[in-house]
Amino acid sequence: MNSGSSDRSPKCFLNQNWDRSVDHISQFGSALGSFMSPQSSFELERGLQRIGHLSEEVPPQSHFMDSSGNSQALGGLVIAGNLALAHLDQFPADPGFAERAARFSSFDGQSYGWFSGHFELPGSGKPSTAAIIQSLTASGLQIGHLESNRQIPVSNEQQLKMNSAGPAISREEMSLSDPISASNGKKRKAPSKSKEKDAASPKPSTDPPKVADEEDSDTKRCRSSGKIHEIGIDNVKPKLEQNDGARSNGNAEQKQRKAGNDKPSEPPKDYIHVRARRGQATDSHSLAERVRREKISQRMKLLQDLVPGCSKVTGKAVMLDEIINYVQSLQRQVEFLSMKLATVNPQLDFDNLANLRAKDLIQIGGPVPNSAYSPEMSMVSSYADVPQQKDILHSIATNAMDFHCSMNMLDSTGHQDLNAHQACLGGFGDSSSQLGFFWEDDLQNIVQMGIGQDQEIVASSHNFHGGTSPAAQMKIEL
Amino acid sequence: MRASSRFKSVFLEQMLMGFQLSGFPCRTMSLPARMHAIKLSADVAMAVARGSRRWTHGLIAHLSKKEDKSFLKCILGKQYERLTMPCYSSWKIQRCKTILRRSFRERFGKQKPAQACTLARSLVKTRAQVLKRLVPGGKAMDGYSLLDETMDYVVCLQAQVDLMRHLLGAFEASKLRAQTKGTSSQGRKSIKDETDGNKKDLIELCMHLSDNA
Repeated sequence: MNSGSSDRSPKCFLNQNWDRSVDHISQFGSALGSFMSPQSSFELERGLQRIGHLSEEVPPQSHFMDSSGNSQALGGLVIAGNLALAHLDQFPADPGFAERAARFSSFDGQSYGWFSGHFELPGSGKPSTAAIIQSLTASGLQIGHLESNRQIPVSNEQQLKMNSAGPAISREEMSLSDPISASNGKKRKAPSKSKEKDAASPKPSTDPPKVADEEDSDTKRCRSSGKIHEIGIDNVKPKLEQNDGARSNGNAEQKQRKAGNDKPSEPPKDYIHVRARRGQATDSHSLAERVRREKISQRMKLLQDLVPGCSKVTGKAVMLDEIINYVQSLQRQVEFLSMKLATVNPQLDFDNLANLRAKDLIQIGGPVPNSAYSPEMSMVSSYADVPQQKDILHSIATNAMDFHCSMNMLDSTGHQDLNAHQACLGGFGDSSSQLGFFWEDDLQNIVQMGIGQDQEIVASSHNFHGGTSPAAQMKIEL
Repeated sequence: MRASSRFKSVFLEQMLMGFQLSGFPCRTMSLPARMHAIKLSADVAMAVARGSRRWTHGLIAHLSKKEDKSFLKCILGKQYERLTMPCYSSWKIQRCKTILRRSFRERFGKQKPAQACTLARSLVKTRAQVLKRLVPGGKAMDGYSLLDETMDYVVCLQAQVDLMRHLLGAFEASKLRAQTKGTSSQGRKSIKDETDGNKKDLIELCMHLSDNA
């Protein structure tokens, strides 16, 4: 088969261009992320991160060799762009490919026509692209007007495409997020049979092909119902080889959405649409393993959104590290704040506070208002553009300065000037002198806990009195 | 992902109630004891406000083991008995010791050369163990639910930090106002005036905060 011979050349293209394409993808992902709503960008980034994840786990060569010949061929088509349309004939025969195409295409009938539209084949591609455009617009896509712009500059240089089509893609992506989820839901219901994850009963070997055929026809039906065609996402063509991964990821994700945290054994009507990848074991154990892994990776991604400063991190170990650091810093903050509350409290009578109605205190949230703190705080909190990781220690620093403000207020034997912290620390009254140094010791302990953890970031408070607390000198490094 | 405002309001109520119950007007308590009581009431308030999750049960169980139960009983009231039922606390995954021993033996008997994947797996394992120690009730969870509970716990911790910071800000602002409104140069006003003024200032400030948020 000529595909066999021509596959050799794309492979070397793949090896060379793999790193480049991954970089593009990460660029692209970050660029998209800034444009798109979190929901849609989340879906896209999931696919992108899947590539990054896969590239970590498996060297790209072996991955491409293990996976289907189609993905190889697709990669070659995408990157080299030299394969003739003749190769496309073999595509519909593979049910896995059909499903992958179904996810990303929405026109009737021919699944391979879409790909032909995106190859820069000087002459031959054009008539079919025109047909594709017509079919697409006929199916009522909103992005039809973008296609004409898109078709011509389709090239192997993904970088150009990404830079130019970044904003344009955002428009598409906005419309994509909802239809994709809707269409995925539709796709789930249509196939009557599926390869269940908890297939404890071993399926006969003939089932997978049968299921595949059914699914093939079903997906074609789904396609005709008008899913949004990701024609604008030709920039992420390198992602297509990972379609199967994205798809099963999407299935796992849909399972999450529908079933929450249910155990794998679910009621029959809510099945897990898991597809065995070509070249991988099809027994239930590895499938279960795969779904479990994807659930975990999905959760990791949600956590990534939660923990600040983790969007660039990939890989479970580093991610877990960040999560651990964040949780520890939050716990330390709680301790610190409770200590501060303890110092402030003696002057207030809490009996009256209980009378505060709950609805007065509703919607207390959002960013800490600067107005609540003394004017000196605003100096420190004006470092607003530092990365999130440093904000925690900054806030601790602001709290530290605040703490001294409160000490000053408590001491209020004439030290009304809030700037006179040094004087406050130096000139304690009788009763509060011991308490003052005691507070300072506690503060030092807590601060040193924080310093011990994050050594490259040291927050400073210039209000500390140099003489009394040398160990607590901290510097803000930006 | 942010905590809902309803959660925050319940949290705050509980926390203030806890402060009150722990006898804060009593100023003879030393600072560490006060700090401890504040932290305790904040944690309990967070757990109660969140409802029924694995980490909340773990947290309450942990607290009831460590602390004097009388204080907890006061705060939790009727829910104390329900929440500290032993079946919720210290749920460890029961593993047969012989099986564990056997698996350890065969794992450490033949050491394969350190491959990247096994190394990565061991890294992830160690970190998961650290996380299990951090998240209350984490010892009894497997990887997936651990991540789930961590997510929830992080959201609640963020809300807790937020609330406490606002509370602190409110107190201090009210103190500032009380002090600037002071008629005489003397530092200490009468306590009643302070509390009334503070209460009013607190309410004002909270309204102000809620408008801002």
